[in-house]
Amino acid sequence: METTSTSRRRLFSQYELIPSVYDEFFEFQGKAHSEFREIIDFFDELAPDLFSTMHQCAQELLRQRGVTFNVYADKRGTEKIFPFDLFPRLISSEEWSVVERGLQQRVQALNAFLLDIYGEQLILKDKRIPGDVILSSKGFIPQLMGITPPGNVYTHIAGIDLIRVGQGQFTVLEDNLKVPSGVSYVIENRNIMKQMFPNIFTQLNIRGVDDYPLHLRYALGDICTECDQENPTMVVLSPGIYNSAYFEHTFLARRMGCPLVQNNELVVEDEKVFLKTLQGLERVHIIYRRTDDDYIDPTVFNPHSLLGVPGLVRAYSKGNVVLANALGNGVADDKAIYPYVPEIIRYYLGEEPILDQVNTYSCTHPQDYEFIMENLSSLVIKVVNQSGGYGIVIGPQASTITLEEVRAKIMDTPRDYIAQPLKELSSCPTYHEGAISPRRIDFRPFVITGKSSWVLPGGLTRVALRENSYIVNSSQGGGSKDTWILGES
Amino acid sequence: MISRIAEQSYWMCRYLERGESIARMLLATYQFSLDNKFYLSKDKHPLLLLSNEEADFYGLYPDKTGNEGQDDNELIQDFIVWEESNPSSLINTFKNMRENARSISEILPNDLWQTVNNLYLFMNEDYVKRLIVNKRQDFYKLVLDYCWLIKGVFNNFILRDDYYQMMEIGLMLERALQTVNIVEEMIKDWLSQSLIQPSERKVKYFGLLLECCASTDAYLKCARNFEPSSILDYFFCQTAAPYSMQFCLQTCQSNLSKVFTQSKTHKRSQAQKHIEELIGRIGAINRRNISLKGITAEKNQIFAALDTINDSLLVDIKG
Repeated sequence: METTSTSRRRLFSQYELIPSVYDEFFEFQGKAHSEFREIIDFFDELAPDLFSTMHQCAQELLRQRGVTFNVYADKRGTEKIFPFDLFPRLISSEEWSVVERGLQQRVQALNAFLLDIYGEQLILKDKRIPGDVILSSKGFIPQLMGITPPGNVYTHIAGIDLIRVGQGQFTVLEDNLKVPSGVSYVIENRNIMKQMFPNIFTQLNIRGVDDYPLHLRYALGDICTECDQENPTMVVLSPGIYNSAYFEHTFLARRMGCPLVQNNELVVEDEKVFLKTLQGLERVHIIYRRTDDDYIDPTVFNPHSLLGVPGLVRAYSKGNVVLANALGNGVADDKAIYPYVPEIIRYYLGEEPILDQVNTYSCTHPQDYEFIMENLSSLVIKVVNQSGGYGIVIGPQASTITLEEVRAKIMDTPRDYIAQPLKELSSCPTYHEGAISPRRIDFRPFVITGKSSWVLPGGLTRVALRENSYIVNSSQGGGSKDTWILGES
Repeated sequence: MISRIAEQSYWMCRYLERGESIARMLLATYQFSLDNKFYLSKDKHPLLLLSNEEADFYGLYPDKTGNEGQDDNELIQDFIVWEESNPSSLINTFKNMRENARSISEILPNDLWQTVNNLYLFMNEDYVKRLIVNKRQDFYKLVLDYCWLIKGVFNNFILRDDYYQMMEIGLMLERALQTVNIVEEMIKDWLSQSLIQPSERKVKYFGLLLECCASTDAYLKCARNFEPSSILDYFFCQTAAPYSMQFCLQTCQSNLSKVFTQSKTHKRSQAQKHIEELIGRIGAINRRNISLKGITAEKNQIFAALDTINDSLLVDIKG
């Protein structure tokens, strides 16, 4: 890009920081973070008109590539383009190495926790965490007691949501261990950025994200003992075209080189799973399933499920099929368990957590309960088993009526709620409706676990497009950004 | 091969071929109308004749005759291109093509999915609806360009597996259907009017037929005249002509053999059996003493046979 003349307006000339909020680009008004100076200057020197055109081109590219999602609440199930912002989130290699180790540690501990909870439950016997919270979790599936997944791996794919707080320290907001989604947008976003800004990629060492699907394929193959590990028969199980993440299902199936199937195309015979093909039944060793536990097998779980494979749990219990992610992860995904994760890390790994997490109050804990009830208007209330940003009440922004409604709900079923202090999510320049202004973001990196774990050097940065909003979820109007992990220079 | 994916692969390509055929027919008749101010049938617009959409059109526009000059001409074209209540309109055809492609996008090369998606997006752009008003020819050419691009990607990027065979079967069966419809309708129409039409119109009229079937250049290499018997020879028996029935059906037969040879049940495809029967029947068609009644009966029989092939193929796929 040509250097602008001094008379041309710079892109960030009108960018005003949110007071007391960490900004990803600027240390304080007018001063870029020194480690990202070169990149920020590059963007700053882009002509506003050009940037606006590039933004439109990016959305059009996404549209042409069919990078969409469906919204459950929209009865038409309309495909929506996932809004994409051209300003990337930037993370230095030094900072990333800490995050990477922290994520690996956390996922390793949660995996050990799941193995124990469905096994000897030593952590409960040692009274390190309250048993009633664990055993009352909707995600805890007693039918899975004593069943060990192949390779002892429960969390093949984890999406850990991080935010920056205070002076910019990465902190865990929540864990997604059931069916974490978003990685397809990570890869597609990167493709867009490479098309829009090829020069930056030739000049800088930005770590690639494109090989995620192959890493996943190999990781799952590694732990499958039943199959030819060079060429396991793997399928992606999808609920179908109207699922909100259907684009991701097809994307990953194509990139992993395996068929995308629906439940009625699988059958269980002799406790083994087979794919129905015109050439006959074909054995399936690994299922990357994008169907929730409750719907996966109507003979064991929800009997009304039309999305399940009868007998699948039996095949799984015999070790004849790898399910990724394993069944029963919901107990570790449950937000009510979240306050105990640091202790889980200490118990199983004998280490202090590398990554901090957001302080969480449990409504089942008497002292916490009292605190929550007295401070509803200043806390963020979450439903323990909800996702997609649904069910969140942000106390400082909620009306009196809303607060009273949530108070009544907590009193009714305290187990279903947790509370966290409102954290000032960091901001990042975002182009929205013709202007560049700071918008709140979070970050979801992905961790793959097979025989060992691997962290994708990047992740999905989600952005709340509405001013003053903290809700970044796509289903509620959020968008996304690329995340650049700068490699060693 | 999973039967759901096989079926959607097949239908994706049927809709692709159908859309291309409609677009070509629209372009050819439009270009014909620029040079020639006649239609053979005073009471039938050629587009309605060739598209088999007469009933649907007059159902929507009962007061129209279809032959009242330019306004009617454009109304009919717009009906065939944009009418959402017309299941065979061009916009619905490409919508269906895209829906099938989206349902099987994991087996399609990314480039193929994108080109299909781009055509669908193009058809839904506001500026395109304005384009057709002022630059109708350009619009039809752009649609054809998209179709040819999709076919180019299809032919060059897809693994030659069972799904590819099913896609090609879809293309060929639809092509056979479109071809027999266009050829038989136009010959029938000519026969009904031939005694009152100057003979020099025959070349132009059958020239239009060849353009609708993308066969002008190829035909001129094979045949010497524009008699109905030569036309029928070419489109029914010429094995080297990509738009002939023989070519289409033999390609289908060959692809079906590849798909079902590997079947562990060694069950023969019912569709293969019906294709063989139709190939034999077409070879035996009397192409010398062609009568109006004969042509009508023939077309109905071939249509019925193609329907049977389609139905039995879907049964074969479901296993």
